[in-house]
Amino acid sequence: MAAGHNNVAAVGTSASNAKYGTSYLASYSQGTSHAQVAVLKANLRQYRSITPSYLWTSTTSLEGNTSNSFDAATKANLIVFQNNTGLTADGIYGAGSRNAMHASIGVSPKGWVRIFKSTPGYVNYNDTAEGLSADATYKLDHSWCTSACRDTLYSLGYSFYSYYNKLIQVNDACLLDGADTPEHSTHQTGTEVDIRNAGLTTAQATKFLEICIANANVKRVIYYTTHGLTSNKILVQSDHGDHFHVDTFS
Amino acid sequence: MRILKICGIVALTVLIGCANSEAPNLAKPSPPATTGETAAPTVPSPHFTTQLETPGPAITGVSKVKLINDLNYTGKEISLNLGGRQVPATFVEINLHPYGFYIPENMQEFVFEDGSEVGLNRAEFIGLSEVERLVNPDNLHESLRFGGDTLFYDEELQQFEEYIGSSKDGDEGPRVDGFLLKHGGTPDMLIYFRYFNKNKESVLPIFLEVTKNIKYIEP
Ligand SMILES: [Zn+2]
Repeated sequence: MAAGHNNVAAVGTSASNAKYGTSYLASYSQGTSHAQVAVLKANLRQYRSITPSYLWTSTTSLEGNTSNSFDAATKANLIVFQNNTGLTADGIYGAGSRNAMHASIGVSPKGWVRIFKSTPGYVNYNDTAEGLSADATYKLDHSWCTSACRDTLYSLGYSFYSYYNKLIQVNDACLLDGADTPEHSTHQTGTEVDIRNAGLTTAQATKFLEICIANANVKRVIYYTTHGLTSNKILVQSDHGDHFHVDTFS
Repeated sequence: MRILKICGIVALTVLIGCANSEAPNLAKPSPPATTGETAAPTVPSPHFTTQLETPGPAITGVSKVKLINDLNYTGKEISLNLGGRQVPATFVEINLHPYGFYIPENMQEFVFEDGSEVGLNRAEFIGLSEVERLVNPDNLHESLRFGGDTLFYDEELQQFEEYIGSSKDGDEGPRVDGFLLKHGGTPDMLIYFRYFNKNKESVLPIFLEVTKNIKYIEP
């Protein structure tokens, strides 16, 4: 039962559990007993094995610790992980830690990649505090897409940045296993990404549309207006007032 | 992560090419429900296939029937045959695709920023996708791995020409059944059912009856 998580410890809510028939918790902390805690420990062991050992001196090993109980050692290892990945080191595994774990060791059965937390071309809104709180209903990680799609995002964002010194905010792409998501009708092929238009002036939004149209890997942009541009790549939909939905070819 | 609106089925008033849509179309009752157990839906003039044009285990000489026979829209309301009872159903158009379904009262429309679905709930619904937009347009069955793990063919659905296979995530978990809709001169569409395998007995007959009555709406 992957439901958007695959090899990484899953988090969920009543809404996402109803969607996938799962029983994940919104967060796991010391004292919790759950099958996903054993997965989390395996994740932490793997993460520890690929990071410098000096980071872990004086942190109890999780080798051989495969039970479902979230113990003090789990918390100590999680805190190192959180410090390392720029999270609040509270020792609680929730959606933010899950996203960071996805970024560190997540494996997409589709062969997709995770959109970076931040680059010189864009920021991943899903990894911001605001984005995480906006995802409270389902707590799913919609940050996965094909590597060509991720490259395209970078290129769109980098180009936009060169005009306005402003990073675009990338929002939902797909779940890492391409599972049907309760938040979109599509977003299952690894080639669909939403870009927020929050804070963009009309001139900036128009420029972003121009950049999309000119990109050979952009197949279609759904937006509420063409801003006067003529292109069969723009599909006008009145309900796309707060973001650009970008489809890429590959 | 936002922009989800659940629209009541009554909210849909814009109907294209339908001047007399107010009168319920009671003159055209649906054929009996095809729950599959009987394996022979009573649709007008069953279409027999001798060629093995559908994927899946080759069953030579077995006749298949069309699930979808008439895509012409005739009015806003019809009655559907659900479990032997005629129940009223209201037409809803699917966003971004030139199709619509008649849905009974226990189903609703789920509107997303990038399309819409009709379903019993968020986990059990009928969705549409253009075939060319799938991950594997050349392998439709593989495209049904919407996170589901195992690909398989449901014997009960093999009778339908449009059926391209199923996927499921365990015996209790979510499953997906796929159907290929070809409609001359328009993009090929994948119609898919997503529901829990454990609920198959109650959900599948409804989705089949609703899909049987899918209509094309000139864009
Ligand atoms: Zn979108």
